[in-house]
Amino acid sequence: MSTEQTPVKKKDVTGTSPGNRIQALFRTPGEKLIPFITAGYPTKELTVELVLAAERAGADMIELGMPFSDPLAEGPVIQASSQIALENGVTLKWILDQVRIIRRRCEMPLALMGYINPILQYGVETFVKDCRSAGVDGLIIPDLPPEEAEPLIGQCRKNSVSPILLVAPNTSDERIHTVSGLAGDLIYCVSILGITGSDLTSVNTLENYLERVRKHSVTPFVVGFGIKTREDVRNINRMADGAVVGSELIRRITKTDDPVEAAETYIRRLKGGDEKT
Amino acid sequence: MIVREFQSVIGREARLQFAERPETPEIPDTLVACVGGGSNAIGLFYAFLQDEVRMVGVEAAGLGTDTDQHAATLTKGRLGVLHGSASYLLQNDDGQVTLPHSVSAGLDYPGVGPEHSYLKESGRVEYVSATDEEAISAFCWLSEQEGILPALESAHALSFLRRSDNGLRPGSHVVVCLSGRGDKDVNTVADYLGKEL
Ligand SMILES: Cc1ncc(COP(=O)(O)O)c(C=O)c1O
Repeated sequence: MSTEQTPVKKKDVTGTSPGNRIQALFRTPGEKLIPFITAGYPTKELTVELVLAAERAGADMIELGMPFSDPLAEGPVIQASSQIALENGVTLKWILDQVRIIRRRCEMPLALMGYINPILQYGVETFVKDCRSAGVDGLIIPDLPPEEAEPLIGQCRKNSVSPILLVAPNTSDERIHTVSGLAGDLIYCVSILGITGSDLTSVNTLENYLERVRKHSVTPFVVGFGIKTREDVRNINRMADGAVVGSELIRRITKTDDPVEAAETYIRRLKGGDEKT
Repeated sequence: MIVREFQSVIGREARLQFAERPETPEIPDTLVACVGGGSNAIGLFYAFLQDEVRMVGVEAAGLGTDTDQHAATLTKGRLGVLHGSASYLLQNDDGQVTLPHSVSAGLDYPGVGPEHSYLKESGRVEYVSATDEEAISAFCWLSEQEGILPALESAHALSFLRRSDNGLRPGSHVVVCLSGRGDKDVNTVADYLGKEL
C-alpha cells in the first residue's frame, strides 16, 4: 500500500506520533455537531454524497454506521436502515472503500460506529490498520465492554485511530474516569438508558449526568441518543463537547425523494446555519 | 451463569428423583437435552458435570445441517459475539448473524449460551442435531406410546433415543429432559403432517 494513503493532515503531525482529525477537532473550542448516517443507506451510491452534504452543511465530524444484523443499541429507525443497507450488500470492506473515496474530497473527522462481531471476523488488527490507511479517525463499538477492549484499543493506539468508548447515565464516577483514560481522546455519552431514537430526558437530569462526566472524564465527550432539534444541539453543547444526531436524520433521509438535499437542509438547521443568513 | 443458577433446579431434582428409585442405580448413565439457547440443557447437566455421566445436547438440524435451514449453532457455527457473549454463532463470512430455521420456535436461535461452547470445546458434552422430521416423529412416538405430548423442542432430545448410532446399550439408564409440554405445538405438528384438526 502506498504511503500517499496515510490520512494524516500535515498540520496534525506532532513529533513522532501523528495525531488524527478527531484529536485536532476537539482541541478547538466551539459548538460541535456530529451527524450519524448508516453506510449504504438508502443506497450505496448515496453514502459519499451524504457525507459531503453533511460537510457542506457545517457538520464538524461524521459518524458512519456499519450495519449489523443484530444492532442492540439501535431503535427502530436505525435498525431498519441497517437492514436495508445489509440488503444493499454493504460490508466492512465496502465501507472502507467509501472512506477512501471520501478522503479524496473531504478532511472532516470521521468515526465508524458498529458492532464487534463483523470486526472480529474481519480480524481486529487488519481492520484497524485498514481503518487507518483509509482515513478513519475513530471507532465506536457499543457492544465492546472496556474490559474486553484491550486488543482493539492497542491496535487503535498503534494506528492513531481513536477508540471512542461509551458511558451511560448509570456509569459510576470512577468508571467514567477509567473509561475515558482508556479511550484517551474522546468518549461518547449515551444520553439515556435506552436505544437510539428515544426521547431525551429532562434537561435537569441530563445536566446532572453531564456535570459528573465533565468532572470525572479526562477526555472531551460528545452526547448522543435522542437529539433532534437545533435547541437540543445548542443545549447539549453547553453541557458537553458535541452532539450526535442519528435517528432523526435517518428518518428525514427516509421520508424524501432527495436524501442529499434533505440531509443538507436539516444539518444546516441543526447547526444554526440558517439563523445567521 | 444466572440462567444456569436458576435452571440448575432441573438437574438437582432429576438427581434426587433418580436416587429415590430403588430399582435404578444412584445416578443415570446418560443425560439428553435439547439445546436452543441452552438453558434447559445446562440446567440438567450442571448437577452431573463432576460425575461419570454421558451428556448429549441435541440441536435443531431443521431441514438438515447440509442446508442453510437449521439452528445447529454448535454443530455448524463459528466463534462470534452476539448479545454480549462470545460463543458459537451462526453467521456469514462478514460476521452478520444468519437467520436460523427450526420447526420448533424455541430452538430457532442463532447463538448458544457460552458455557455450552466451553463444554463442547472441552469434550465434556457431545452435541448432535435432529431434523424437523426426526423431531416430529419423536413427538408422535411419545404421544402414541405414553400419552405424553412433549414440546417440539424436547422432541429433538427424545429423537436421540431412536437413532441407531446413539451408542446406547440395552439397560442404559437415560434421563431425557422434557423441557416443555407439546400442547402448544399440536397445530404446528398437524400443519407439518398435512392434517386438519
Ligand atoms: C419447551 C422449550 N424447550 C426448550 C427451549 C429451548 O431453549 P433452551 O435451549 O434455552 O432450553 C424452549 C425455548 O423457548 C422451549 O420453549
